[in-house]
Amino acid sequence: MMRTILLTYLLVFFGLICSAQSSLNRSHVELNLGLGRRAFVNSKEAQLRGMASLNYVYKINNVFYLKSGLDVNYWDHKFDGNFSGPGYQLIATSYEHFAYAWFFGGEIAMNRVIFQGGAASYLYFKHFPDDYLIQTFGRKVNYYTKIGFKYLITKNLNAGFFLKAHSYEADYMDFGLGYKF
Amino acid sequence: MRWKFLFFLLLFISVKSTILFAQSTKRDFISTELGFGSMLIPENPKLLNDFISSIDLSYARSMQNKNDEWIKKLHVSYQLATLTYMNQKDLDGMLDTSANAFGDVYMFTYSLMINILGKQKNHLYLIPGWGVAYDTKTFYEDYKNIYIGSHFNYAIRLESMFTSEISSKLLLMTGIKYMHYSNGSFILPNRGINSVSYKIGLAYQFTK
Repeated sequence: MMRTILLTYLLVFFGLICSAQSSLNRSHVELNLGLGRRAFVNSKEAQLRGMASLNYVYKINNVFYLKSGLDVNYWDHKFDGNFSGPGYQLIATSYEHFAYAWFFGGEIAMNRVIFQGGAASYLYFKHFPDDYLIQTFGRKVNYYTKIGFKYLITKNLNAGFFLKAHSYEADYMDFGLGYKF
Repeated sequence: MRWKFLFFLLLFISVKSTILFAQSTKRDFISTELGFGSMLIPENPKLLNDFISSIDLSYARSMQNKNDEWIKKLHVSYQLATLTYMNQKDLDGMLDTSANAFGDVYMFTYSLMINILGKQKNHLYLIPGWGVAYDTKTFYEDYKNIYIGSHFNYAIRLESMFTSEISSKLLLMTGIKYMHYSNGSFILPNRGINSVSYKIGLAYQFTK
């Protein structure tokens, strides 16, 4: 139900923004798809992680940009109650394959190289209970940060990476492509 | 909460000497910094007893004659390529549980020297950088090293530096540098190494 509401909202929100692009030459909508590797606890094995992001990017000038949008987080292995299994990811452990978050951040464009950073607040993330998180890790898991770079291959296509982290605990490093509409 | 963060923070207090082989406001220059530091972990009963040595070798390319819009808007004075060597064999880690478990670190970072304040003799710079670090000893070579799980890591450095021109050839510099390296949970354990150092030094211009 929650997922359906979010997807509906996503389609309506960005549909409206896309339709308004003809009069908003300063800004654009960008879709990013990326994958990364997240290690199992105390093992060299790892699981696949990923993220799809759809952001509205507001151009302040040719160097500074603000961006906001929806992040869809992906876990290849969800937690099944086994702390020795592949689904246990410390504070980033998820009981489901997908989690959703609203991102707000900025970009600094240095010709073709763009620095990107910001934070996202989870809208839906089935994680460990808050009491357990506070007792075990000393904090809740309501938000995450992203920081990284991307490179403009063409005017519309870019390749880049970012580090996703819950506070000071790194989650995974995401490598992917982005397309500017 | 703050103490838990500091739990992982290795604080180096170092005095650094800087030699600039050639420097002027609009010229490229090479610099080297020798670091003699000490580790501080709040929970460690033996504070400031782990001496660390490091050396930075930087090539700084002047950006002040460039007309790119981002250079002007960000007030970038120089871009720096820095090679860093850190000797961590004397680090003992939290409560000395990681004694003799750390290796040597070779780091390469690319940084931008951003002029935040100052136009004439005094300048305040912010120097953010990103790069890669190679650690010679990991958890899989020594299980006491619970901080680093892989040889190759990414590196972040963030430095603030104040410079004051004492004379036309002599420059006083002081600042704080934060450095971090870890692998983004590519391989666990991945607590990473965090260091904060204070530096003070003199730069002498050999050429006109």
